[in-house]
Amino acid sequence: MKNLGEQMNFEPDPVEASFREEVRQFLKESLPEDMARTGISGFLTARPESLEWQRILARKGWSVPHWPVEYGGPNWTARQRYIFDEECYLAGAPLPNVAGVGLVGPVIFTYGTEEQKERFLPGIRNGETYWIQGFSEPGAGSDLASLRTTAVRDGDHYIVNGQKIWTSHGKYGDWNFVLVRTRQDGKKQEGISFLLVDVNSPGVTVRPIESLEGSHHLAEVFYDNVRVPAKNLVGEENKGWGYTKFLLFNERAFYGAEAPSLKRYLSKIKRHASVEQNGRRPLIESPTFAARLAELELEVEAVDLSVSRVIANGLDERNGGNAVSSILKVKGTELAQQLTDMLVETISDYGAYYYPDTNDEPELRGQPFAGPDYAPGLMAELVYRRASSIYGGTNEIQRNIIAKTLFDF
Amino acid sequence: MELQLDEEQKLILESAQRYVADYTYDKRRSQVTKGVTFDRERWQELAELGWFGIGVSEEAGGYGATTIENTLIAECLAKGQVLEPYTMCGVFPSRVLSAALGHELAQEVLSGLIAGETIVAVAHSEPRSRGDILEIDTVARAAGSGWRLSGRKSLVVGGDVADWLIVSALLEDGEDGHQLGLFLLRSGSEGLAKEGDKLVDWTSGVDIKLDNCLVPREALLASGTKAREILQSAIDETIVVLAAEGVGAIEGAIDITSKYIKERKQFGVALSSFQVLQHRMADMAIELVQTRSAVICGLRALATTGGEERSARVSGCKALVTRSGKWATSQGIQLHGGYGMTEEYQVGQYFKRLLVIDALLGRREFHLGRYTRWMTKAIAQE
Repeated sequence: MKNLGEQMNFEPDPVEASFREEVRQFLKESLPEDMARTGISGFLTARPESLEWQRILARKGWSVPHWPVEYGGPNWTARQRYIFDEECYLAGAPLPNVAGVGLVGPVIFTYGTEEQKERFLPGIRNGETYWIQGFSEPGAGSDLASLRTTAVRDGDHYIVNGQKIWTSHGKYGDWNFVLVRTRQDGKKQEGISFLLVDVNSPGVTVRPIESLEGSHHLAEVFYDNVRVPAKNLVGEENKGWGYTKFLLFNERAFYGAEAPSLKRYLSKIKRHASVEQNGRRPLIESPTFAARLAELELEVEAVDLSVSRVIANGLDERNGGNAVSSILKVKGTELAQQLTDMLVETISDYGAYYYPDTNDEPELRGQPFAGPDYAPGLMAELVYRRASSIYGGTNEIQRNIIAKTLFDF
Repeated sequence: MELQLDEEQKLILESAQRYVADYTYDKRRSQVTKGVTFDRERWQELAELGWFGIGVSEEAGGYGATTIENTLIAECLAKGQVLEPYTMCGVFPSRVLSAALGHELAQEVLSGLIAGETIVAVAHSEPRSRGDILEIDTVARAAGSGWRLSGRKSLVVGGDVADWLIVSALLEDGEDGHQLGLFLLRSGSEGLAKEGDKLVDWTSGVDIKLDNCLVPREALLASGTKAREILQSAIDETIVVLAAEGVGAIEGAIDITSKYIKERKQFGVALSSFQVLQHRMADMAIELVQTRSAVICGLRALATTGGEERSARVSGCKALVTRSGKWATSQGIQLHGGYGMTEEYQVGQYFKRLLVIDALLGRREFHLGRYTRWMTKAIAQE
């Protein structure tokens, strides 16, 4: 598959098409039906499904698409990775442990020691360890660099004290990558280090936070004199901010636009609106509903094409240059919010009902509920989606970055 | 699917960028002040760059290439606020004429168009058409060996200066009733009158009234299904190029507004130091990326789809670009404050261009409607 073509050519690439077919075939054979059901519901993926799916992918050699071959990556082009993500989403495959596969993995293979690579990368790749992120603090959100959790060197250990918050999937974590302050004086960005902490170490406490939608996927993490071996420091002491910027850029570039999830919302809205009734006619025949959906579809297609342009051309000026990941993050998350809103609209009165998160509490599965089969999870996702314009750097911070990068204000 | 420009496309883009770099706003202003909407010398310059043969097959006397190249040129010209209507009097008629392959007169007029010597305007839209190509009332009655045309055409870009007009009319030739016909006639024909002056962005555009205008038999370029297909296909391609103009206007508005707010001081500091304005400009930049991608979606539809789907996707492209474009360019005015309202400041011209683009070849209401109907039908068929 070519990555650098000689011209703009819109004909479907046969190599690309056969790759897509291969992915579809694999998903058909290897994605268990109940897993796909939980994946497509709208509830967040829980630990067991996430790790189990990662193990299935690992057996195929597809569990770390963005990683270099030497660390187990499948040697795909950017285009192939995009197709893979898209097909997985559309099929309802569980989400991977993003903090591991997408965030800390690349930091470790880029900046880590050989020992760290050998120790941590296989666990991520093979779905054995679940990673959680320790960035935000009660006093350091958008202004992340003012974080106050400290690590003080004591022989061949660091002693960590402080608190993190808004840790996604905190209660599932085996390992935690944590930004800590290792120097108090000087510029605040220049006193930050990147530590890998075993969640089971004495002094670490994870306390789940109840979210608006009723789940407990977010958590606070407390560190009380936690002893972390010094060999768990990634890269150099006080250089953690640079690794963080690398990580955040990856996060926005790979997950920011969320084009595959936007497509999944569109397809769900269309499916529901074809069967849900508006009076005696299918909802999709309502002209105002259809026109609003059409506008969103046009926006999603443009986002999808923007992502394809980045894949084909890199960060070229005609595509938003170095600001493009922020541009796509803002547009993608705002569209996700509008689409999930419309998705709830499709189920009419049932869009106001509370449905417990059966991914989070599997023991509740199988209990009867009111409304169509696909009702549970839609509202949870709408509410959860409010977070997407906050995490990964709020959309306001993204707009600061866009203005600074493009206009040098 | 490949999304990179090839070497030749890059060269065309660069030459268009160079052209507009020399076309200063003062030049435009002096032309506008003199009441000139269309300068034949400028038109000749565009022809010498080879831009009118682009997207026209070699067989029809053009230089090959595709609509992609037309969009690159149109984007630059709109950013440079060039008055001469490259899209409506270059791309649009060239598509109609080249599709009427084998028609001797059409071939001759097309050669003149490509050489920049002949100006051709397409007189199709009518006050109640609103984008629907079959909603016209102009009629053509058989008269002796020729035809007599009667009706009123609106928003005819280049209609005030054209040497030739392409006119759509319903044929009353008895057999299958009101079928569409496309005629090619001299602008000086008897029974033909112009009404109106120019468009709100100072570009060319007038009404053409036809009162029993007698045209010879060979003036008929095509009729029936063929005429409809030629016109629809030409309009689809023209719309994508117009949308690219919209992108050029958004980019132009962003460029000059970002410079302006860095220089302009209030409360003792540059306007660009205010976060609310930074965020507004970030949103404008987001829309620029979105609309450019929407144009490429339109180009993709032109290249890979046909019939109803092609027209629907083209409509989608225009619906998105006009909405985002009107918003982004209006914010250019807003960020300039009072100066944005003046004719002397360039930014308002971009907004006015979007107003005209919205009106040309069917407004957003029509295009969003057409896309929506197609989407709904496609869902039902799945």
